[in-house]
Amino acid sequence: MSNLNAASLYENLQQPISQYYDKSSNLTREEYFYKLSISTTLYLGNLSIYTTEEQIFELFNRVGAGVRRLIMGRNKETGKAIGFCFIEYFNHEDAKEAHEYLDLLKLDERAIRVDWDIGYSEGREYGRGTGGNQVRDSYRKVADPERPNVQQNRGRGRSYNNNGGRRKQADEDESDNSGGGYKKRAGNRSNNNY
Amino acid sequence: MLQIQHQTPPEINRIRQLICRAGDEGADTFKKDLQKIVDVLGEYYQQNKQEVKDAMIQSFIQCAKLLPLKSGIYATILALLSTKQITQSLTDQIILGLLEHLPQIAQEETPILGQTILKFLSELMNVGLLNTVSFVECLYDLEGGAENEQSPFYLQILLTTIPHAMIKAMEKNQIEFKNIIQNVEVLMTKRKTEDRLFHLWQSIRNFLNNQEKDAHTQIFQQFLKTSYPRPYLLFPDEMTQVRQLRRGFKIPIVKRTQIWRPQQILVLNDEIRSQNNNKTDIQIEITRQWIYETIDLFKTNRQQIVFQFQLYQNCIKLSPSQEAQFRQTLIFTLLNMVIEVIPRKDQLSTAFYSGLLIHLSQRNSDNIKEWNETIEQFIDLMPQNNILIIEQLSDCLSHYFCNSNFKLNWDKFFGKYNPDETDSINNYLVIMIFRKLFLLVSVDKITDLVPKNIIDWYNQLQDITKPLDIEQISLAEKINSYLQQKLNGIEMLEQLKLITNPNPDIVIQTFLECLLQCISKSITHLNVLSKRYLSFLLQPNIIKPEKLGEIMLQTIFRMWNHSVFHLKVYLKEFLNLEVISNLQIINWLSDIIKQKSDNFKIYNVLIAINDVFRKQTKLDQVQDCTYENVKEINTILSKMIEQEQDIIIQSSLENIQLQILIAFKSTNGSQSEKLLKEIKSTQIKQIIMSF
Repeated sequence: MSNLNAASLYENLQQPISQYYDKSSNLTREEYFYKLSISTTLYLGNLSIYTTEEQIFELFNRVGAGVRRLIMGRNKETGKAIGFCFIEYFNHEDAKEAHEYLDLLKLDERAIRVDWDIGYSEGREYGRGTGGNQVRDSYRKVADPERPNVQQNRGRGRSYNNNGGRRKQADEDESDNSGGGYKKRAGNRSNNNY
Repeated sequence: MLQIQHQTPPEINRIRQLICRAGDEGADTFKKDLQKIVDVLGEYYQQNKQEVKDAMIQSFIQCAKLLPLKSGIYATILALLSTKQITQSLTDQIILGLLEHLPQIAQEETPILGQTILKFLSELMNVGLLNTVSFVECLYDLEGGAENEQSPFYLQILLTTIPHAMIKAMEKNQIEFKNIIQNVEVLMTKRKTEDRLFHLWQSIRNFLNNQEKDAHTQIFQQFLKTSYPRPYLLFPDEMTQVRQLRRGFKIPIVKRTQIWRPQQILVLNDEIRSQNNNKTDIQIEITRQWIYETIDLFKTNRQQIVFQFQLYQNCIKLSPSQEAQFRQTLIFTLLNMVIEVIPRKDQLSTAFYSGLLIHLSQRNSDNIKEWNETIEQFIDLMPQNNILIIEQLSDCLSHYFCNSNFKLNWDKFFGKYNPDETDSINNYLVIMIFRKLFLLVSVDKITDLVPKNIIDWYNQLQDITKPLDIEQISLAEKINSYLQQKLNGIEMLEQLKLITNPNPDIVIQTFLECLLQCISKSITHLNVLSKRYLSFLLQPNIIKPEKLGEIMLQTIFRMWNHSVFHLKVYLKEFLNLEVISNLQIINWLSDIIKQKSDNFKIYNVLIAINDVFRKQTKLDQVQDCTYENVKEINTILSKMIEQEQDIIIQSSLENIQLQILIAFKSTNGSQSEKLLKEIKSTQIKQIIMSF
């Protein structure tokens, strides 16, 4: 099929593929963003720690040929879900569709962030922050009962500028407690006890 | 491709931006903005630099091709430029450049390129840059192409061009134009389907009939009212000075082998339509065509697609009733695309449509009540004989509801449920919507937002997160203890062999039930445990593969017949592991239907199978994709369809048949041609050949 892509006319107005560059990937920026441009993997962030794999799968499996693999982010010490995951599709086009049309929409009453990822490799499912959680939870200004409860520990750990974290700008929006009055679920189901 | 790049000279980038973004500033300064663009482009052209002229020509060509909302804008700019003598050759070269693209039309899979180019050429005719006689000759070319092609590819281009060209053509070349209309009438009577072509044609015909009756062109005036698509109306004096090109051109018609199918419109939103007169409104159809084009052209970028819809709403000064009509057309078109379940090559996922619907509704938050009411209207008019439509629609609505802050007219949706009618399709719709909704958002989070009666009703339904109970309890306890010990496949096999039971199949069956219970904990459990244990069961001398597949499918049905989600996930996983095959699935389906299980259980299985087979079209490895197997599957399905009395089940079986044949075609083209020859139904052949 020819280039029937009108959106490309407005390319100069488009956002870069991702604001996030993972320095621990050991890739140069060029290599990193090239991998993103052909990636079939998405990073989902701002998930509730109570959101189940089935919930994520139910929504994201509606795209294209469906989800190839889902890897939940976990605390290395406790094995519990820490509010992110990787979704792998069979091709880049399906991943792009999910990225374009599911980003910033709600799942389990939280606006989820859908970002490109270079691809899962062993170890990337663990949080790199305090106590095995995500770094961003260490810097949380507002308590969020749907995220890991981390002791605020300013001054330690890696410092991030505005571009360092995955859309850190949105932190204030992320403690989305809409639908208040819900009960905390007793424990979560994502653990490594297979 | 037209790109704004940093290495490109700034003036080239400026030209590209000016042309690409013409009209984006809005309706209030529209006339002034256009005049400014004309002045700037005129000055650039006067510099007489070849690269500047080339940039201008290429920009117009690309934008005319890809931005159908702005065809009139570009035609107006070129018309205004032509009044400056120095730029006369510009339009000439743009038209030549576009004509060079025309042979590409035949290579395309959809007629969109042809539609947008012809629309632009018709606007050039409307502004007086193109000779009406030669343009009408183009329509004859298209009509000739339409007569000679099996699929309505050229017919679609012709029909979408007519509304934009008809007023000028009627004015300047009435006899020839009427001749074309008569020929199209003949072509359309040969077609029997009520798809988007049919409704477009109806609206054109009604408009022309009314126009003849209303000699004072009141309808014309109404049709021409909005200035954004026809900005030349804002420059009446200048248009009289436009210099017409005496150029004739021909649309190259090439014989195509690829089939193109127009979208179905299952639910109409035309308020003028009545059962007696069967009229349609042309403005609705033009808007609908534009919506299809915009989605196709901008689908890779959500921000841009939303921007285009906002541009339409902001720049075309709609009266309140026109705004309501646009909103209704937009929502109805999107939802019609959602419920088009007969396979299409260009079909987008329900996540695309629900995501787009949500983003658009968020930008129409002032009218969200009307937005939701329109969705309710659509559901009321939805066809009641197809569970796949229910599946697609419930996908879309559940996602939309999740993002709606739950400010919905709950009675409208839940009110369709009738506890006295156990098997009704409306009940199935309600169950599907709420099951999917409460999978996407936990019930306990929204108890304050959803009416209590709905929560209570939902809690009484079979919990779709839990399987049904295992029958052999004591045997299961033993097996579960082995599973808890995390034995590997070989160790598990040794333990199972030690279990004495008069019926060895019961041991395997109970083991599978216990396994299914374990893997239901999460997707990760499924991936890990199924690979760990099912692979050893496939080894020779343990159990025959056919037997394993049979027991597996029976067990899945017994434990998960209430959950479409789990049926889909497990069928796909076990197909990938080659524990079950497509043929076994079809035989299993046949048994379930013969056993006259509860309708809703059958529906769940049908939906799951359709989904799994549909997704096989994009996988590299299609399980048991041999000619003999697929032929057998096709034979079984054909027989089931023939014998099935229930039209709901029958339509789902037909879809499943299509999905497996399409999957076969995409992986084994030459063998599939052999199979196609044996299929009697022309419609099925056409659908498969369109892939």
